[in-house]
Amino acid sequence: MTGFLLIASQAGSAPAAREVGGLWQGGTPFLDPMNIHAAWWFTALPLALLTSMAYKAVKQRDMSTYWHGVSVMTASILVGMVGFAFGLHALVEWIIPVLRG
Amino acid sequence: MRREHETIQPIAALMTLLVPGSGYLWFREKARAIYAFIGIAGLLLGGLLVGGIDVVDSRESKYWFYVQALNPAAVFSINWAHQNVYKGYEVRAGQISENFYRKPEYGERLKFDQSRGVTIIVNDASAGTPSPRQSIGRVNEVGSLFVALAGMLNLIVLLDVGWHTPRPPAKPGAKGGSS
Repeated sequence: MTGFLLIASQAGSAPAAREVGGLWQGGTPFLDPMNIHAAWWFTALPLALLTSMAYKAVKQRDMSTYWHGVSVMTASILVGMVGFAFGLHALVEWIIPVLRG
Repeated sequence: MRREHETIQPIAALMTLLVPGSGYLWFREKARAIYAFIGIAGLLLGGLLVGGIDVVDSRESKYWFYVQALNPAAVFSINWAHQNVYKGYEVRAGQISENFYRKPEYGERLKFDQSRGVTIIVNDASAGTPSPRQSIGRVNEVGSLFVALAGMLNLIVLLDVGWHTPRPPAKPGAKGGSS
């Protein structure tokens, strides 16, 4: 059933069900949300890349090294987010249970 | 305190408010304008792609909207379309209320009610396709974050072009670096 949505038709006395699949569940891109609830964290990559592109467009003095700056910032954001997630995981799952005894 | 060579550039600032990054064209910095535009517009469109039009909503997500609106031309247009084309008032007991302001669900459609002067939601069993759905959960959060980040980055661009200091040319052989 993953990736599909059952919609009960309200037409007629005997409601029929129909399956709508795909990333937008039969909806319209840019109007309806994507069905990526299980893989939402993949969006961190374009988020970091596009943020770095816009930020470095402002901050980079020499545009010949623009893409180098974008790569470094994108990698820094992703590594930082993973590190922060790991740190929080360690705190909640390992350190606090040990302290609690 | 104003830095040396810093000038106030209202036209470049206005250009940035209309089209993200375009203010750099005023200073003939074409590459910078294109990269800033791709970054900001990519975040804006990415947010809509992930979370749908529901991520821009001045009524139901007003605090997100305040940040997103730092991209005024695009975000106010999207919000106008969201509020006026994809939402309507539900009529209960002959009365419309702000509390029943929502998107149509399956088997419903929007209809402009001339006597009330507003768009209302009516039942229509023949409405064949599902109407735009509310985005919820992580998808809504991520989409809202994309559009909000686009707004914040546009503010950085706005400050850079609005109170502009010409960048000194890079020294030959020097490592690029940020200013």
